[in-house]
Amino acid sequence: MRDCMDYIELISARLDGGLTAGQEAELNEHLAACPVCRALAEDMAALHEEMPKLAVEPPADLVENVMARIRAEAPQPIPFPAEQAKRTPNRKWRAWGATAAVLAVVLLGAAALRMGGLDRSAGGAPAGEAPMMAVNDNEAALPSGKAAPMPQPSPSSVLQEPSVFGILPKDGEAVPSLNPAEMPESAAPSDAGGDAPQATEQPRVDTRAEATGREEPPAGLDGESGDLAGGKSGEAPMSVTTNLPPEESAPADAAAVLTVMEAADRLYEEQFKQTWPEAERVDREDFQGYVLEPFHLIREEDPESEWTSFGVRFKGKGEGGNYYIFVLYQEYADEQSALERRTWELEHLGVPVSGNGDVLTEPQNIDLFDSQDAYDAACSSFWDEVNQ
Amino acid sequence: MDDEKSLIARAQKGDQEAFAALMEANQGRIYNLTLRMTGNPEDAAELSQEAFFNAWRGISKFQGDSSFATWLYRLASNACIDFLRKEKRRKNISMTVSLDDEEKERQAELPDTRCSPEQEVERKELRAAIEEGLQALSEEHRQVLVMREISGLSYAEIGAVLHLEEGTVKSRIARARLALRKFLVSSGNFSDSASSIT
Repeated sequence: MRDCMDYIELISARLDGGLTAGQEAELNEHLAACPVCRALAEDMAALHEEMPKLAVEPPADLVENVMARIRAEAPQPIPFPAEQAKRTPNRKWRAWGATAAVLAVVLLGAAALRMGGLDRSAGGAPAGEAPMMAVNDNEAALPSGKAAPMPQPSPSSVLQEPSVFGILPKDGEAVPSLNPAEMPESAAPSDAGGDAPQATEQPRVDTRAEATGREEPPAGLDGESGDLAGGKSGEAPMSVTTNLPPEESAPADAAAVLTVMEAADRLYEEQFKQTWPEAERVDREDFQGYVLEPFHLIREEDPESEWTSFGVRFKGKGEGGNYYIFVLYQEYADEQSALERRTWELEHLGVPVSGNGDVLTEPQNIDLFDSQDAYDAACSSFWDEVNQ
Repeated sequence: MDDEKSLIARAQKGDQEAFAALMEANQGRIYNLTLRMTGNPEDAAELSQEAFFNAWRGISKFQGDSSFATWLYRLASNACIDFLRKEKRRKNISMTVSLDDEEKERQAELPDTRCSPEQEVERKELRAAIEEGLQALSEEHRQVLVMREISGLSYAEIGAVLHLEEGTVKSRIARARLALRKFLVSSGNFSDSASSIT
């Protein structure tokens, strides 16, 4: 003898076809006797009829946008198994060669500066590598082959010579001899054959694709994944020094040390701007960073509810003085707490003071790791790195 | 589908036009999935493009043991879930539901007393209410409902995308429909004579 809850599944399944004759009979018998289930069946049928009508045409440019990215990015799909890329991104980078990277930087840099453009394939990188190497500064996770906006730490001194990833030239403060740093800015608008929106979009897509170019669940748009642990474990500690030949690095060092607000700007550009395009930049003695969301009601339709705000603010320097540590925080208040604000620190981020290297992100979601140990290791790695 | 097979084979060798044809054939279902999962066209377009781009990058990995559409769905659907998780974490500490947690979903639904038909709550068109209701569901429920009702996937196909048994799919869809219906009762679109069941 079933109760009504058992019949829900039959009612639902019947909408999709596939009840046996016996099930059909049993259901009908129950419905005849139960007005509550009858009403429910009617409602469900109405939903079943209306929902397909929600289908819409995709935007007309959807396919073309993807094709444009494909054409601009690489001539062919990733040549090597994606697992290898996922698990050992640094090996892939190294295999390509520090020499080649430096060479590419040197070759491309001057030309890029002068022409204000960049041929992405000129770097001679394997398919899919060139754009990451040459174009992108915002998606600083590239050497490790992972998705922005949460770049993963990439140990290896190879990483350092692409100051590509470190420097966002500020107005008036460009680092002229730091050619790679110029490339992304100048490349975007004048990419041969591309247009600005496509070019600027591209790096973002590249990195996500790089991390997610496989059948199984992608690493996600924020790049948080087991890759962090996988890529990190066993690697040498990250070195902050650059491998560029002296004439490249000297001007870089001199001009590249960031102020706190410059670091905050970089952080915002790379990590938060996409989600919070209208954040407020704040430079005060007691708060340096960005207010991503000022205090606001969470639920508009129920004012006696909750308020929250989000921001990212400077917390201090790492012990070694090489990283500015920022914290993404959330504030919360509700009527019951008499609007007393509470603050949670959601995650810490480290921005290299030198301007060279990736932004480091504190691992947050343990579900994305294979084990508690892997998660703990990743957390330790983060703190070791930023305190170096 | 020989035609699809040959397109896939060509795409795997780098034939971009073949891949474009595959996209044309699948863009409707992928876009509708991302649209109903995210609730807004901008994110939907972005995520659809992401999914397709990932498909291109990873197409050499496609074995053919599932259908191409299933594989694409999985890419798109996972991208949506990751995106929503991230958005949720960043934007909302009192977000309605988390994945796999029906209990929270029930708690998060609009209480009947607030929006019962007797009060001056605006009666919405049913379809608009359904759209809203979809957003209020857990991602898990939204996912199966969108795949079933909008993309028209069978239980077996949904099971293939999500790596679930058909029986699980069937019961999840039933619970999703129930949850959606409950939202519509709360919002005043359905009468609540059947609410004693839930």
